[in-house]
Amino acid sequence: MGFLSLLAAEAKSPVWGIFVPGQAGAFIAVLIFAILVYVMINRARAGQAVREIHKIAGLEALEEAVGRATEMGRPVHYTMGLPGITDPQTIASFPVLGHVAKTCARYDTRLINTVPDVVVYAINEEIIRQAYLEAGRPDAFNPDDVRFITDWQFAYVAGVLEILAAEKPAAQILFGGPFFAEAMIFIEAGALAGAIQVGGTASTSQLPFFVAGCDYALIGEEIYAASAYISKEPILTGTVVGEDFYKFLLFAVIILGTLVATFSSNNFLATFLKS
Amino acid sequence: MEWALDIDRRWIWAIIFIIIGAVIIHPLGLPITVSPDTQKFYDTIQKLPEGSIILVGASYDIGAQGEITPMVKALAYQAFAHNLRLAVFDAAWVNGPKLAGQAIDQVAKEMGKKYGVDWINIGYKPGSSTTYQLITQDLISAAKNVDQTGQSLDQFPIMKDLPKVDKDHVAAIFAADIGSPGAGDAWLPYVSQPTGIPLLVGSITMSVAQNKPYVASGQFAAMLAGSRGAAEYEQLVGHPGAAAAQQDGQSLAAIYVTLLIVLANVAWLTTRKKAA
Amino acid sequence: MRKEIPMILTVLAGLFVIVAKYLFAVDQLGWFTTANRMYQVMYAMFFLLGVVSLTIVHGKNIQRRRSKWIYSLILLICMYGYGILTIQQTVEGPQANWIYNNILNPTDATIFALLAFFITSAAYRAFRVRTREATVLMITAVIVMLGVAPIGDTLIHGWNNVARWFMDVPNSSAMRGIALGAYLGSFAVALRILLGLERAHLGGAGQ
Repeated sequence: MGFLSLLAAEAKSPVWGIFVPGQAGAFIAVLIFAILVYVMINRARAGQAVREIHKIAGLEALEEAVGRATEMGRPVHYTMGLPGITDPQTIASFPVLGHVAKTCARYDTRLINTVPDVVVYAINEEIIRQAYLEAGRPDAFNPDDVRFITDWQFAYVAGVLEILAAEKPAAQILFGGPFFAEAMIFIEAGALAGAIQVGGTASTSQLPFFVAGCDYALIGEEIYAASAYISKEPILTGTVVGEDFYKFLLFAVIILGTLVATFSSNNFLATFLKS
Repeated sequence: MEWALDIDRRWIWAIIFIIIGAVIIHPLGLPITVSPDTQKFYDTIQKLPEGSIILVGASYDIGAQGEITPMVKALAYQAFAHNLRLAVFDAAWVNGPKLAGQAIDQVAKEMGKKYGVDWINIGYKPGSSTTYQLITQDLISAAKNVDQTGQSLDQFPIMKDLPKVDKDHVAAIFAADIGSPGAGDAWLPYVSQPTGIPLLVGSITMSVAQNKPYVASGQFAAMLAGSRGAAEYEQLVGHPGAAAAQQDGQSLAAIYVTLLIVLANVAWLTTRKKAA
Repeated sequence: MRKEIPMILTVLAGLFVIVAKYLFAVDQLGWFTTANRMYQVMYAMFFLLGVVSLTIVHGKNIQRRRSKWIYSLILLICMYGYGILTIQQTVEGPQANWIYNNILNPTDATIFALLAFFITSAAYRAFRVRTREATVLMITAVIVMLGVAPIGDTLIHGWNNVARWFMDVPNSSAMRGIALGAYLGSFAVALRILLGLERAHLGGAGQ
């Protein structure tokens, strides 16, 4: 019986090819993107002109926020939400933390960084220590101001609320992510403490709260351009410009796909674009 | 009107507390109309052949249980009434499988369904994106052959029909979405799209705006939108529960917030005019 | 060398994932699955790292009798107590379940419930008709808020449909645009790390 059912079953034909089935399109997309970015980096390295990034008010406001805290003699609180080392938003936040820490060190303002992730905590401590060192103020760095609270979301929220109420920071920076329900709680508690608030995230579900609640907000991809914007390094700026070119290419593909799908759905191009 | 701009926040909070508390004690019973999205969700499950397995991706936490648990419960009512089987699992949210398991267990006992036969709680397995990918190849191995209660998975009859998560063994995935990792960035790219299994999503209200594009593109087969979606689903299933009870509170809170916004703006404009 | 070795490892791991995910011949070797399994084990080890880190941080607090050291002691007792209990009787054991259902669950839900209060006062504070954009934001917010609650339909028949239109059409378009930009941005960050241009995650001010 088993033998008969084996005979009845259709033998699976072996699959061969260069790419894993269904992944060719994605690979080509990755490759084009990488080439564009590489070209832009090379242009920058060769000293050729690379477009500048437009003014990002939220990043300009970081200095203002730290300045305000300095004037008021109160600390700055920096949170990345619920970061994880594998999340690109967290990685995008590191250079900003370094920049804020350096500014705080220069102005002799206390920076409190709360973290709910063990790995990120270790990295943040190192970033802030290095920033104080680079600013020539290694003695001013206080490791107790980099605080790992817990990785339990609402226990972390409770810890931060206590810090906001007790320390009354004059500035709160919510940068990176991912952010979840805690974002709105932090923003409102920060407002209660009288802090100027700068927020930036690519967590789309929390963006409306950032826009409505913070004094300055960075939206989506702006946070990924932060390291290039802050450093003004042409090579890093090149990667952002490459990304913009790729975006134009994508828009062209979207428009092409829409036209093809509208007028005909059974041709080679439609099948390729769908794949 | 300057007083309105300086209202102590505690008054605002006290009033919202009283409003929500009052409707919990005395529900208004406002009618709930069923949206096409919820109807589609219900119909998709109703069309599944008897005996099929639905994988319940319990990607949620305690904070979201008010919105997601009623969805899971209503899903269990519909699935068990239709002789479908449920398997609970998650690789990113530690508490999700426990919360979903408790909800399903309650319905299963009520409807005489047996653990290990009609439903199973595979539990939380660490690894996030990598574990989501592993279950499509070998579920028992990815789950280290233990369920939520520490028993061997391979001893349960339901697992004989669920060696891995693919189209031959799983008819649909229900994934909770409360943020990241969730339906759009974990279940869709790592499980639903590679296997072709339809993805049904239960989203918290906060994530609805973010998830709408996936519904429009058809990547989510259907979606329950927040507690309102859960209430509509409970109504369709015929077991109005916690989500339906929340709707009156939500209605009054919406009116209260609207009035606050109007008051704040009138006060602000009046003060500004005076200053000018 | 302190930064070079992790950077080389990052580049190698990144290239490995790209090759293993896309190239058919490498995919057939099953390396990607093996790497995934290794990561699964490593991920579980992070929990141990967390326990060790918490023990060191709070152990120091207790040892040096820093301010609020008593909370550190409570934390360690709870962590090890609950940990031992769940290892002994699994997370579904009677005592573990009792603690979960009667302490952890309500405490967590209580903090989450603060959101209702904070959103109310934030709406009062934030939604002002300062500019044309802010006015549009405020009006849309009110329409959607009342529309998703049953009261919208009770007040004006069909309000729910208007709210749904806002969510399905303008919202979806904007979300797609933002998501597209954000994904490309994260892709650019990944590429910068692969090329060794982004080093902030290795420590330092990142510049």
